[in-house]
Amino acid sequence: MKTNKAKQVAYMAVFLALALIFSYVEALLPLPFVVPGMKLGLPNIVIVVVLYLFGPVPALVINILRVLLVGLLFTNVYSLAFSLFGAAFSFAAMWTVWKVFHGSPILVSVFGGLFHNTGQIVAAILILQVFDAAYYLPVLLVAGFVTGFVIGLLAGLILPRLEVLLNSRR
Amino acid sequence: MTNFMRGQKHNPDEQGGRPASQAFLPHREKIFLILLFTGLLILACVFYQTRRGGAAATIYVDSEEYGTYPLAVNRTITIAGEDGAENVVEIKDGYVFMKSATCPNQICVHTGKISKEGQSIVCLPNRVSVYVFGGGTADYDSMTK
Repeated sequence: MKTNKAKQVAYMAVFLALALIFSYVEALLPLPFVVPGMKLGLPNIVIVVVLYLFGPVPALVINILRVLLVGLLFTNVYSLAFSLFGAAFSFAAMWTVWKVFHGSPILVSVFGGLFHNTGQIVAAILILQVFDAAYYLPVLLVAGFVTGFVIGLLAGLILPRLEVLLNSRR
Repeated sequence: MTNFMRGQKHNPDEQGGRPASQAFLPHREKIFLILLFTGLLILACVFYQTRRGGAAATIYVDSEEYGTYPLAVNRTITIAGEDGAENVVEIKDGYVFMKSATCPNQICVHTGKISKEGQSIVCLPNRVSVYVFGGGTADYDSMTK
């Protein structure tokens, strides 16, 4: 995506705002099948889209800012630490699949989901000092796969349309 | 630009963002994802089927032990925290569950009844957690019945 600096800043602001809204909507929708740490991962649509359209650095910046803003606005410091672990693990996995394996949005998002939940378990073990948290890992991995697949599917559908739109408004 | 369903190969040398108009889900990824999902399902099934029933529940407050209670005895434990925070843990018929909590998200209450070794209920806002541990005898009893 070739755009000038001012345009890119404006796009980043729009994507960050969208990611924030998705985080908020997600917080409003409690899942019926509740396992600690389980999430839909709606903001990840934005992260995957930005990763493909603008590259890893903007995606990482938006991800970090989103987690910090959501942590400060809607939750407490403990939840913020959990989110940071999840986001860091998931971004590292998504970047690897995107960069090294040239994966499709679905593959990238599935690995994001898997590693987000792994990060949450690691956070529980490190912060709460309980190794029993690993009990939920298998069910969280299955859940992360399913949510990651759906999110990747959505991102894959949005991407070509958004690319056309962004190029036509140059 | 809209030929994303056609499996177009993308150029890895391209600078910046990747072209979005690449294969929607290449065949090799499809195979890999199916195998991965099957593997995860089998792992989860095997893991949860082989779990033993727990013998006792330990409650932690601020990652310090608050108390340990056998699951065989019915009782209600009320944990009062700072700023009026309160968690009510109930042990009934070999299960332990969070009866009520003052936390805003109520995730701990929605976790429901637990009884297997390694299961837990975590109330992150009030920093109260309940863990079931110690199987052995309970599992032996249920198998010989």
